[in-house]
Amino acid sequence: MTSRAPRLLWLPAALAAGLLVLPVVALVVRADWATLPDDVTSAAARQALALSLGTSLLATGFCLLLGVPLAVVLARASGWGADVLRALVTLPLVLPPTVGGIALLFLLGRRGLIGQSLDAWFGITIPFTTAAVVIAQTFVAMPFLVLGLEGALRTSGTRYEAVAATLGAGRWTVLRRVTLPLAAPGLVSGTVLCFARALGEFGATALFAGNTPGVTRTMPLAIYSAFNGSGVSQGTAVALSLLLVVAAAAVLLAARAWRPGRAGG
Amino acid sequence: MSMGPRPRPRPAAGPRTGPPAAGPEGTLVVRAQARHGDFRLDVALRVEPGRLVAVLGPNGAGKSTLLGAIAGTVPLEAGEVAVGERVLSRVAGPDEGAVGERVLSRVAGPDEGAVGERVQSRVAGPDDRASSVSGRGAWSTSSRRASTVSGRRVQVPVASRRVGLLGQDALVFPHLSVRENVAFGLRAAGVGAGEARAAADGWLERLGLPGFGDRRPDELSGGQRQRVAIARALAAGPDVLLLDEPFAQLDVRVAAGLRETLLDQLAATATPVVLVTHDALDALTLADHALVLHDGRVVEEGPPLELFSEPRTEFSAALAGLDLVRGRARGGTVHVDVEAGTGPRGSATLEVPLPADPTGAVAAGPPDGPVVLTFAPGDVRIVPGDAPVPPDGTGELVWLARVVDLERGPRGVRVRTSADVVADLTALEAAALALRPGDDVRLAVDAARARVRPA
Repeated sequence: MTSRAPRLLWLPAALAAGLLVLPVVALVVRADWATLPDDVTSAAARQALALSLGTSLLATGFCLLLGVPLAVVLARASGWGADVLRALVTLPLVLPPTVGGIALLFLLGRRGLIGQSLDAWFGITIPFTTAAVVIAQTFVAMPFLVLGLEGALRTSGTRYEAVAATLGAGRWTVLRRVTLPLAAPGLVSGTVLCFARALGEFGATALFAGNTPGVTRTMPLAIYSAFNGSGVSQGTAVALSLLLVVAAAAVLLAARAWRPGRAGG
Repeated sequence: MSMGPRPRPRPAAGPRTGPPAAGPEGTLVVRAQARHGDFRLDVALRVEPGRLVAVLGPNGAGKSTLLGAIAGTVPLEAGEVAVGERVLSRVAGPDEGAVGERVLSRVAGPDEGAVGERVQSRVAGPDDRASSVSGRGAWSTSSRRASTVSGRRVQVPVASRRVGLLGQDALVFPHLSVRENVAFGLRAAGVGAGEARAAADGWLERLGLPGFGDRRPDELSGGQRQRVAIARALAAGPDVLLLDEPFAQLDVRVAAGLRETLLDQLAATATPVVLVTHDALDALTLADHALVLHDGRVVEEGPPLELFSEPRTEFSAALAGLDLVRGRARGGTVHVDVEAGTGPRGSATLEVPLPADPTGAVAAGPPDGPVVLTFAPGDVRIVPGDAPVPPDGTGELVWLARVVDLERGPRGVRVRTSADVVADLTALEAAALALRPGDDVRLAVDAARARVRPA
């Protein structure tokens, strides 16, 4: 079972690993360890981290709430309509997030397609609020969940579902006890990717939600602001970046440790 | 919960059937016409409680479509599937007053009672209908509204039919323990977790897997997985069990043990069973009755032993290990048309005066009309060369054929010929003949060795 990759692959593999790892190393090296504790625990940093984690969790929740049904429907639908929908769902993946931000503004902004009605009828304004942050994050993160789960659902197929039906299980029971548990690995990895994407979201948030401390300034925006030197040193930006790296790594490790239904798989 | 009785609710009185009445309580009655692309299925069968009917047939004969029609995955074009009084599918065909039905379905409701058969379905009333399709109590009630009961059309959804299905892949849910797998049907029916698990353990014991409840499916062998699948299907308390080549992927010894267990359980549960198989052994050891399907129709049926000792189709002859040749009887003589293989010779018509057969089958002479001749491959002799066929009257069937291939056979070597006849030779005989694929040969069978029956 000890099959080895050809040696020729080692060089590009090493380069790839270097490209992925070395920037983070540079961040660690560049950090000013003397001021780091203060930078990381400053009120602004804590505020930004709390906002980031809160909005990302909320966005992930929305992604699950809406994305799981979408993935199930897509996985079990056929025909050209489903193909078109599948392509449209992946669109936020290939769009630059800034374009997404502008698009959201045109939809939900005060003079947007839906936004103007919201404003006129209910007095609700979405842009530049925390809600806008969550919406922007949900917009960019949902495709990760939908695609991951849909792939898992297609792979697990419908044969187990058919068996469950012959055992007397109605559609909801089949979904709850067979379909989703079988796709659990895809659901978990999709959720993790979804959360990670929401945590790192910058472009759409910046355009649609702005950069108000405590309201819409999430970690990526705080880092950008610190780096652009609006009164703060670059050291703060580095410190905040490290904090985000640690937070993201913690999420990934936690997800790795928990694999549903497959002990040691 | 005790070990014996299955948690099986008595079906409430369903929409009563018309003239093609369902049999006694629990009998599976199928009269199915269905279409799948160009393929048409038209089969009637009947399985009493505790009986097993084997369905045999070549690939594409309609076996799976038939199972689908019973399980509810293939819609009927016309006909009916019922278990006892409970109608699972019903569609009135064009020959059964479809015009009237169309009018009725437009008028709907109260007017239904106006016409004969429908009076009865009105008597049953909407409440009874709902309960009959949802199965009061132990069966899921969630799909009640999904049932289609409009006029004379009934289609109970898969989840409410109480038709268990077991295929050649066990499809044991990989994310559940063995116990949870077996308890699945009961849990889906709303039985409490503790009770369902206890029942599951009972079923595991009965199927020879005591103490396996905590195992994961990937820790089991193929035979054990299939046992779990059987336990799971039976634990759900089906009214009908469909088996689709359940032993095909198991090795011979494991399959034998499983057949034994299955027989015991079927006797205990009195469930009608339809078994689709390619294996004559399955039919012989398990079935009370066997059908041979061809092109969507039943071409042969009877007790398995009879079917295989006196096959009437090429398919059942092959399963029984016999050669079968078609001919025509006229005035006590059988004329056999044998495709004389490839080449310019075409086919030869042989007149075979049949000697008196001690069994009496031929002594009286078959009635005029098409007949089949069957004989054992070991009784076929091979004479090399393409010399003309000798005149008749020698009490021998002789015809020309071409060797298609040679393989290992029960006597040593099995020779397949272009006439769709196989000949079993000993290795010595085969070596002496030095046969090769493509060789022209004469095949000869002593007429006394052949059995003749009306086709």
